[in-house]
Amino acid sequence: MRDGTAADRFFRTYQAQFVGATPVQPFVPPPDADDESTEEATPQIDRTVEMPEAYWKAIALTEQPANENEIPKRFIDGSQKGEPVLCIRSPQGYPIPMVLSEVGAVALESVGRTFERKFVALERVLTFYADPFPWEEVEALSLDLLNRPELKLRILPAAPPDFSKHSPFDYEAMRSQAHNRAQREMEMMERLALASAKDVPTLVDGPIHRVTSKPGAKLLVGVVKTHPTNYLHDQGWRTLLNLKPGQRTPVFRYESGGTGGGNLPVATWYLKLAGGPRLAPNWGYVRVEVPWGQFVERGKDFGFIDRLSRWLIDARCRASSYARMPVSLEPIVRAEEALKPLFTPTGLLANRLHRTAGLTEMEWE
Amino acid sequence: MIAETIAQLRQDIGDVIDPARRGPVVLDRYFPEFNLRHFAVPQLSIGRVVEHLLREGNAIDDLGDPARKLAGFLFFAGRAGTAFINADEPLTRRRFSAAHELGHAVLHRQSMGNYLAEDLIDDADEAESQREREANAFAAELLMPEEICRERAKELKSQYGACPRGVLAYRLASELLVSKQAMDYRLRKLEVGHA
Repeated sequence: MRDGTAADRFFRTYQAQFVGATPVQPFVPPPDADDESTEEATPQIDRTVEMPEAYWKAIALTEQPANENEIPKRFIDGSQKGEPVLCIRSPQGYPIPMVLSEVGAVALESVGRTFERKFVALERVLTFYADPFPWEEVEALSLDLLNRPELKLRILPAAPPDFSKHSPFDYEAMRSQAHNRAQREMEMMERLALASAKDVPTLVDGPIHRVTSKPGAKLLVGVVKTHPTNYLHDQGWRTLLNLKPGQRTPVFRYESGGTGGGNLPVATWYLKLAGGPRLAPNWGYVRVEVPWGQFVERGKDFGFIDRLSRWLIDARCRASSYARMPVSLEPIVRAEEALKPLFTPTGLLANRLHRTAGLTEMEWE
Repeated sequence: MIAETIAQLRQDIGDVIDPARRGPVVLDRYFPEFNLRHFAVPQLSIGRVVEHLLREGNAIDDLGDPARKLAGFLFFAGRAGTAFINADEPLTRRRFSAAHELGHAVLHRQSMGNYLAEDLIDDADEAESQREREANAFAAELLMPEEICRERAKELKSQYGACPRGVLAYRLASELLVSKQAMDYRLRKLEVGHA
């Protein structure tokens, strides 16, 4: 039964329809910048930090153990679980997916041989491109969804796709923008996790700029599993692709010119965690980041880089059942495992939202 | 003075700030109190405003060059007024602009004459600039209540042991339906959250 609430009126006015996690269409637009990003200026890369560019070669790691202040004690991981649950039509007829997500972050601390959960944050959000709708209606919808105890959904208005590249009728582009906005919210929780204990040496899953623009004095390490950006010259690539497990590339300095890198210069290098005859050459390595300031503080000590890398190799995930095992670290896998069970099944949340919206399968099929 | 005006306004329309309740201030409720309606018009210009007003049967003076682009426009015919905002702006910006026009209606009704046109490019004189600053302060105060900002900061601190301003701004911006930039500026002014 329709109860005439703001949510009910909004969904009815804009012809809300059920949607699910349909397979992504063949053309998936690249993520566009969201509202917090600005145009990227030219990034600055210095590949001569450890050796001249032309002489780059694989570096075998020392067996020397890391000192106490050279290894992370705290491990931060964020996660987003969500999917489009409704599609509404804007007054112009644009199909706009509403992505219902739970976003969260967790921090584990190593205590002896075990990990203790020291931080957890979890929230429900409904993300969509809201600009085409009257502000007073979105205002009312937002108030309604946030104050329903069974939902407590915060609306996240997503930025528009780049309309010079995508039609406003492109559902995938809209979905991608909503996903990016929810992802940004997850990063905010990772930031909060870091800020809650800035004086503990910390490792984050992903690049450092995602969690801070002002790293503290204590060690901060970022471990990046995906590599969409090309930082290397030809000899760098040859070195990377020939790395054997337990080897690393030379260190280079990277500073993004825009907000994408947060203008935070880092000392960074690639490290081969796993290898073998059945692994493709572009698999099994991670890129490690340490704030440039911290690297300089340590006297640009490449021994520190070696010892930290050795520790990372030792901390790699060894569970062959885990799909991303060759590029994963055990503490981060543990963090993921600590967070995932806290998520409410999306189907359950979607049902609650559908009920709130006055939608039932029978009515809309 | 603006804070007191808004406190009075809230009391008049019974919009009590309750930190336990989440979500944006219901700005839409404030317009009828001043006999004011709001319209979002694409490519807002003098020409578009005139078109709209004539269509509604208003008698209007010459408002100037129809091609003149506008950021906002406030028009009064007797006691009833209309606030025009640019429909091409993002939702949060449109909402802030609407609150800004409401601010003019509340604070400057006596001194503004029949209408107030706001150009896209700011070449205002000192008196106009003062009015614009006041309308902006009104919008910020109304849409981002100090009590809510402080309460959410307190919650974040007690729940997670930290309150980074960037994170707080992000969360509050979506809760209060304002832009991250406006929220960030407001928190800095209030000195809420840490860098």
